[in-house]
Amino acid sequence: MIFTSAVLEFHKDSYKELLSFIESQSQVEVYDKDIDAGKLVLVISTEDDAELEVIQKTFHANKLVIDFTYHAIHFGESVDKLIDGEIKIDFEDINNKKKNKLQ
Amino acid sequence: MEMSRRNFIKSTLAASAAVAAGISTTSNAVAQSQEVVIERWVKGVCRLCGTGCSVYVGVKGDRLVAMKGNVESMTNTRGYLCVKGMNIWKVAHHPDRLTKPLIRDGKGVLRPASWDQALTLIEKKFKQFHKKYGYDSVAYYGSGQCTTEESYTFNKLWKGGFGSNMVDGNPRLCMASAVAGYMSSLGSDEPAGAYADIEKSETIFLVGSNLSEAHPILFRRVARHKKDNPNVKIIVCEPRKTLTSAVADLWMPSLPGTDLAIFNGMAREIIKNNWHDKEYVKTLGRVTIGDGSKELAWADYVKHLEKYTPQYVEKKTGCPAADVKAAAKMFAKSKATLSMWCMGLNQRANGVWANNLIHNLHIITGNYGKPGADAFSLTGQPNACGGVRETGSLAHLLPGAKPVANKKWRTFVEGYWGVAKHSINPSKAINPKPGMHAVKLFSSLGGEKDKTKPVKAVIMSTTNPAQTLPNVNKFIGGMQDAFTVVIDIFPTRTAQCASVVLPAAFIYEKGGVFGCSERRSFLTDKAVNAPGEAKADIWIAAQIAKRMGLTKLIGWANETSIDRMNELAWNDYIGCTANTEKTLKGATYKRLKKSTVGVQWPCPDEKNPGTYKRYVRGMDPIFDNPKRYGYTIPADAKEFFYARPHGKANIFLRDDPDNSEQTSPAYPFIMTTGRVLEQWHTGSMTMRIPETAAAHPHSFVEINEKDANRLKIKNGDIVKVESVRGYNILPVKIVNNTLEGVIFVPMHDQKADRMVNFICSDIVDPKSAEPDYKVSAVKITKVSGPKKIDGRYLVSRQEMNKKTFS
Ligand code: SF4
Repeated sequence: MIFTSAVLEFHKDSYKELLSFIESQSQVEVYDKDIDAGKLVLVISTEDDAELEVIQKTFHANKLVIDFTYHAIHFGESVDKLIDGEIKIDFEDINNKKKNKLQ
Repeated sequence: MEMSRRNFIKSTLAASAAVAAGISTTSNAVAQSQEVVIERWVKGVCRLCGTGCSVYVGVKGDRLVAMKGNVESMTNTRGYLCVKGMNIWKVAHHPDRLTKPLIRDGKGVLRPASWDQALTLIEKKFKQFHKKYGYDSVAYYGSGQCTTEESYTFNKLWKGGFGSNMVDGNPRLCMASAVAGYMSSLGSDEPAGAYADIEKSETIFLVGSNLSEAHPILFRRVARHKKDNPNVKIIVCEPRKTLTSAVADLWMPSLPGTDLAIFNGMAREIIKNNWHDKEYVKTLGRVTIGDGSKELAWADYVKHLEKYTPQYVEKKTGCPAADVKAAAKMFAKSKATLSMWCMGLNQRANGVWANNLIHNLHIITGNYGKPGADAFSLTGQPNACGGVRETGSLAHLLPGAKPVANKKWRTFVEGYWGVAKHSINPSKAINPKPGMHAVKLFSSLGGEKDKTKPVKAVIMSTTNPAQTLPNVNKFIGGMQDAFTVVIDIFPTRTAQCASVVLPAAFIYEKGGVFGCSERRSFLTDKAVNAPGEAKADIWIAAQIAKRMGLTKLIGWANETSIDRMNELAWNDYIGCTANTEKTLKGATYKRLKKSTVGVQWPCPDEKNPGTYKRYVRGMDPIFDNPKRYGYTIPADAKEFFYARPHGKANIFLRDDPDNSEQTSPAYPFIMTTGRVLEQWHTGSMTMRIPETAAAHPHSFVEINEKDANRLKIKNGDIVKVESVRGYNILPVKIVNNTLEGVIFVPMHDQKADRMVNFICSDIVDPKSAEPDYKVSAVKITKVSGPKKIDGRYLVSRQEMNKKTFS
């Protein structure tokens, strides 16, 4: 798993609508918020970066979102698996990967 | 247990993002009270583009496990990161990493060797060639991806130790025109301002830069500035309508290679409408021509511009006349205009002139020296500015970016380095004659049997010229026949040509200083150990120095700690350049170790905070003691440029010559090349990141829909794109974002029949010697209908033993 934190800025009057949009996405959790400032801290848990990018695109396309930006990423589990030979960085992973929910 | 560990990780990341967002966090307490998921955060810079985003890499044991943006950063403000930067960990831990030296045997096979064997062979060959063919027969070809300490060490070794200026680097292929542009227009290389000007500008002129894909974090700053200030005007001038244009008020299309007419047309329009800043021009502008020595009158400039009517510009460039007028108005009428450009302006047969003309627009409108105003050249590599331009690691330069032909400066550097005492060249001096620029160097490289090729050996670090040189077919044979040493982390096309391959350490495995586009030097600390026997380049340079009898010249050659080597090299470098306007004397290694934001030169002493804006009294510390830096600045001068002796910025009369390759009935299309968001340079790193590779697995050719209709070509069809030099076989992407007659091919693919540099023109700018990658005449013929493409191609270890490229 890869965990990524991101800062999302939104139009203040649309918080409720935005929240229900976020809640519809199983990979995304709200960790901190400042509703007056129109900011949320999200943590996104994905199998890989491709899935993460799909989520990013979804936020960028959402009219309620002013800005969505990454801040930090934890990829330790993947590194451990890579070094221990449990996963390979090869293209078969990509070819065989099932489409995630947002696609 | 597993779930709670994941919760700790998530809380840690969230706490950090909350700080970045400036909101109080509940995550912090959870993160701090739980299991250690990250043992330490080590500060550094992103390894990829020239933006210089500041990061912390998270380490556990000897593994990189996380990365976060630095919230204090002045480059990626608030510590935001792009997806390219965040993916870099896969490169560091990739199983393809080279971990042992390799020597090519008599059968052409690269065999594992010890470091001693590899270095002994290098020593033997270098000594033999020095003796037989002279000191200029052995060259160093570096990179804007080496650290400053590494580039400085190799540069000192060659120029001071061997008495040879056969030192060049890949910034020649991307930045040399910007260097010559700054030097000739303003008298000193590199921008006057900083990224901080983005948020202070009223108009942003993006030209020859697909910022959204090449510099995503800077694009974010521009887009955000526009979002927060809808009155800010953004003009994008480039042949393709890219994602960058999505935020633009005006997209100015232009046929590749013709935009000089646009810039002159804008200047004409500005003057005709009386929008120019007369006082600024009178005080700080100087009209000139040619090499800048002869001063002309303002009237000469106005007369020179007469030809560039909006109608002429439209006819020449394809840019509508109305757009030229609108752009001129937006440029001149704003309180502060910031231009930013990249390879679209530099990689041209007339790149230096194109740079001069952008500077002209800024001089005549007074757009330097105030917040939000600047002419800013962006770099593609993380350390092209700091490592290569500032250390003078190009064939014609010395540290401080001063010409090797400048006797006064050469004598100073000789003295500082102790060349008379230490050099192994009997001349005991730095050669006053510049060495060969990249294209000439590789044209002159060949085997001992080839009497026409004077360069017999080259050591290449962190760069891939067998894929990146224009008209690359011309150079591959020479690289294979000569004695070539490659220092890299992965197999590449250049390693495939090499006699010796040396495994390199990655930035987070060695540490060192990178200097980004905005004159900011930032120290990355070593975070983890390099895999196998991979070594830092500075260690490799030190071993060569020792074996060549230059231990005393390279005072850090006997050190065992890379950190100590870096410190000694850095302090030697900042001592050498202390009396130049690029001084980083105050950015001691100790200071950089502590600093979380880096330091912008000029920074003459440790109390100086670094310089946001040059050429302005009260901001630029050179004004405090100009004599020390060789300038005479009048006491009442508020602004002063470094073009000597007048201190004015040159307004050049530059025409719009057609010196790029021209189309013909046989080759009717103009091909331009560039970057895509997911990939970087020759793909040796980014093509190894599966998600990135999947997003852009192979090259393609973008063709305008009208051209495609005429050629009866459909989306996905396979076509042959061919110039007089070579061809590619590529799938077609039909687009409506280019002008008719213009096609675009990305530059990252390693597959032999998709390597675009087999096609590219090797015309170079006569002043900067930078190649004209952006303009090649080609023809297109259909090969077949849509076919499955063998994508994500990477040179493998096995392929390194093959003479031909697959
Ligand atoms: S913008 Fe460039 S330097 Fe910044 S994170 Fe992205 S690739 Fe790295």
